[in-house]
Amino acid sequence: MITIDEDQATPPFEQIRSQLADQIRAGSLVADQRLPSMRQLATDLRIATGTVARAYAALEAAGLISTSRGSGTRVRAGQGIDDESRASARLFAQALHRRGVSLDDALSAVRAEWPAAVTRNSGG
Amino acid sequence: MLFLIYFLLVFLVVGIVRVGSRKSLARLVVTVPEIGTVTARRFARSIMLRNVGTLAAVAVALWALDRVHQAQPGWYGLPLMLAPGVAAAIGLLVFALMPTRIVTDRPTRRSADLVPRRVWTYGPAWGFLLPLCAAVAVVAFAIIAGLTASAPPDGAFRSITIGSRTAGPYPGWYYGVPLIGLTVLLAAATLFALGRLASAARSEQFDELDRAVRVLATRVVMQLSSGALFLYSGAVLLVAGWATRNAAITFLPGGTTSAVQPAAAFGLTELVAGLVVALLGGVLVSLSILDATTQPLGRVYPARASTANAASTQHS
Repeated sequence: MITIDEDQATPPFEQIRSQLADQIRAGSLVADQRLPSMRQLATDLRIATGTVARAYAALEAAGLISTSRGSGTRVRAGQGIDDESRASARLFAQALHRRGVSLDDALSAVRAEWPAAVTRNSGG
Repeated sequence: MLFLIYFLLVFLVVGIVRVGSRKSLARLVVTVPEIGTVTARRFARSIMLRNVGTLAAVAVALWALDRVHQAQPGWYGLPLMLAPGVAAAIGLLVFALMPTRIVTDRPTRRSADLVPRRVWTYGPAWGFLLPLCAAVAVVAFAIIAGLTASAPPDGAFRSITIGSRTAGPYPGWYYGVPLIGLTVLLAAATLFALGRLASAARSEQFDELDRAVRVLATRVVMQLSSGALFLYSGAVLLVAGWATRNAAITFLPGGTTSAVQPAAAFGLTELVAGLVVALLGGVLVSLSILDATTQPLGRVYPARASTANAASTQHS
C-alpha cells in the first residue's frame, strides 16, 4: 500500500518513489515481485500516469526495479537490506517512538551519527 | 417439443448450479456502514444500469440479426448462426464502455494497493482457460470442416460429400470463415471488457463492495462470452452432425439403410456433442443473466452499530 498526501510539500512523484524504495529496501516488496502497472497506480491514486512513470523511472535508474515489455515492472533481486540490519532498525524505531521522537527527528539523528560511524568503521 | 426439452434441461441445470453455489454467491453480497450508504447505493445502481444495458444490447442485437436473417434468405442462415456471438460481443462492448464510477470524491490523502490487477485476477483460472481452449477447438473444427466441405453448384463451400451422396448445410468455408472471425472478435471483446474491469479505479472506502462488484462482473463477462461461444459452436456441431449423417447413410429399398463408416459414427458424435455444448451454452447465458441482475449491495448497518462493534472488538 502506498499513500500520497497533496498537503505535503513533497511532490507526489517523490512520495511514490520514496515509499516504494523504502518498501523494497525493507523487504516488504520482495525480489521479482511484480508492481502494478503505471496506469493502475495512477488510476487508483487519481494522478497523471506521467507522475507514476517519473517515479518508476527514478527507481529504475537507482537499480531498484526493472521494466520489460513482457513481464512488466518487477523488483530487482538483492535490493533489500539484510535481516539483521532490519531488526536493528526495528529496535531503534521502537525505542525512539516510545520516547515520542518523530520520524523526521529519528532520521535526522541517524544522518547526524552516520559520518562518525563511517569514520569509526573504516578507521578502526 | 425439442426446444421445450432444451429449456427444461437448461432450467434444471441452472437451478442445480445456483443451489450448489449459493454459499459463494452469498459471499458476494456485502454490507456497508450507514455513513457511506448514499455513495454505495449510487454505485450499485450504476452497476445494475450497466448490466441491464448490456442485456438490452444483447437482446436488440439478437432481434436485429433475426430480422436480417428473415430479410436475406439467400445468406443460408449465416446471420442466425452468428447471432449469439455477435450479440454477445456487442453486449460486452456496452458492458466495458458504460461508466460505473465508484470513486466520486478526491480527498487530499489517497492510497493505492501494490497488488497488480490483471484480467484474470477476479475469477478462477479454469474459468478463463476452459473458454480459451473451447475457442481454439472451435477454430480447429471450423478449419477441419472447411477442408472436408464440398462446393454445391453455387460454389459456396457449405455441403459435405461422402461417396456419391452430398448433404448440407454443412459448416464448410462459407460458414467457417465468418465463424473463425467471430470467435476472434468475441475473444477480443472479452479481453477488452476484462481489461476495463481490472483497470477501473479502486475504492478505498468500499473495498469489499469494490471486490464483490469486480468478481460478479467477471462472472457475467466470462459466462456471457463462453455461453455465446458454446451456443453457436453447439449449433454448428449439430448442423455438421446432421449433414454428415445424411451424407453417410443411404436409404435402401425395403426400409433398410447402409451407413458409410466412420463418417456416420462421426456424424452421430457431432450431434451428441452439439446437444451437450448447446445445453452448456444455454446454462452459461442464463447464469450470466442471473449474475447480471444480482445486487451486490446487501444490508446497510447503522454507523452507531459499526462504532459499537469496533468498540466491542477493542475491549475484547
